[in-house]
Amino acid sequence: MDEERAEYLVGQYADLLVRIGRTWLGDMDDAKDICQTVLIKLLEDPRAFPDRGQERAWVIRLAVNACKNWRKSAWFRRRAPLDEGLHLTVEEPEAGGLLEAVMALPRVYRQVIFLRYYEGYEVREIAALLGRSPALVSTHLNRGKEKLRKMLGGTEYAKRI
Amino acid sequence: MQKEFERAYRDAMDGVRLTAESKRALTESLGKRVLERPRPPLKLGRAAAAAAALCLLTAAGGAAVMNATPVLRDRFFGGDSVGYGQSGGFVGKAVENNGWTLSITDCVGDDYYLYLGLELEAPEGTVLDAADYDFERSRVDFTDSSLYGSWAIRPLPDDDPTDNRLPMMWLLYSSQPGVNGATVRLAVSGLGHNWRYEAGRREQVYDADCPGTWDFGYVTVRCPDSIIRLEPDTPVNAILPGPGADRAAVVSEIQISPLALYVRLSGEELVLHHGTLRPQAGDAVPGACWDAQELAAYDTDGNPIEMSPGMEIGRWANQNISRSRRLGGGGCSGYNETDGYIWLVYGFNGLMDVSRVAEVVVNGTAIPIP
Repeated sequence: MDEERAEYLVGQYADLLVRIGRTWLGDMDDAKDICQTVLIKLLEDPRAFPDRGQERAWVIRLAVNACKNWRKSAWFRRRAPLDEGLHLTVEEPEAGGLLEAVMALPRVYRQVIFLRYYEGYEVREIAALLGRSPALVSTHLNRGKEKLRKMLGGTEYAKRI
Repeated sequence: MQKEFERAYRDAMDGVRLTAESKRALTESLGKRVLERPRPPLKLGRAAAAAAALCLLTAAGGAAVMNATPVLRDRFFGGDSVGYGQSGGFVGKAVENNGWTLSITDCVGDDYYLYLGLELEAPEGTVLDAADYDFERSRVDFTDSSLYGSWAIRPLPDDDPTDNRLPMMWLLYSSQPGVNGATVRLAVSGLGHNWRYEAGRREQVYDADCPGTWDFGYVTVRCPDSIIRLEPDTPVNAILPGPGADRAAVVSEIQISPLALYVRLSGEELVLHHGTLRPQAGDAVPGACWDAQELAAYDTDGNPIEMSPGMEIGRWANQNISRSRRLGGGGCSGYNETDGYIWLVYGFNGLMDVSRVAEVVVNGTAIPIP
């Protein structure tokens, strides 16, 4: 049963967790560790949800909390979540594109951009998830997009933002 | 145009993915993992409780598994509750010294505090009827050097002072987060009672009950994590002593665990908010800035939630010994020239159901809890 659940969790959420870790922490090695840490938590807490959407929302909340802990505590950063010998490889888009520009934004901006434009959350849902006011989330979204426009200059991407 | 950006961003983010080989390795590694699953505080029989306990605590040493009722739950936190289920569970580890057995029965913890319930069992026929049993020495060594703070051990009310069992409580505190799930060496030595000062001696003296050491070795205690962690960035005034001394700040962090409410005020104006001149010997000590902040919390029915700075340690029956009843309680950036913050720690009066905390009010500014 644990093997089946492990396969389901990895297939369903491993990439999402790496993306959240990368966005929140800005470092791919940390993102891989966050991915493993949250997958272990999911294995240890096999609760049932009425639908896949609620399960995904819970996984995102777990991942966001894990990233907050990661930033605050050396203990979280120093431990190896799974086997010491487990080396994970992540494919990334080529440098110089839109993603690199988003990743260069301040952390709070790229977090709300991820939740709004990748996960499709509404502003009030992002506010609830991050514990910020909706007005502040809107401000961060607008400032993030404005910074992106400046960073991307006259490129094709800048016109689309 | 907006939709084009969304599509381009989604496509780019979709390109961030683990290779198929990495996913296979990850699945295999997860499948092999021996799980340490925290259990809710079910009313289990003794044998079942001991088995569940091993899920919460792992140890390098080979100590025995004990059979005991959860001391924290029944003797300190007033019985089973939602808050206990959110932050506590059975442990079950015992060590023996000179025929006296000391057991860790259960734990309750969050990022900064970890309570351990202890039960001391003396050899048959011994009566543990004193009110102030304590150990001469205790040892707490976290393997993570970033965790540091203090700890306290207290006897708890004993419902049968004529028997050979005594409930106790051990509270560990770190000013840095990460206590829950950390690995720590725990040991205590030299049990005694009737602690007192005698004329001409600076150290307390006591009547010895059992010499030697109870050494649990390196243990890892992991409590359930139901903590609400928020970063509201809500503007507030930080209250500082003196007219016109208030500073602009934001509530940059709120944490709500069943044990306590944690609030961090941050801002550039809080850098060096005590000034740059460190107090010299003989200077009057000003009131702590974290004590000057006004913090309140309300439950979903609108009732105020009882709480106090720091964390309850327990009451000493022997009032001749002056010891603090609370541990921790806040901090600030002090004379740090780059960081400006005030950190508030308010322990709840008992274990709180975190889902019932509806609002936190910091210096008059209400912050709803989602």
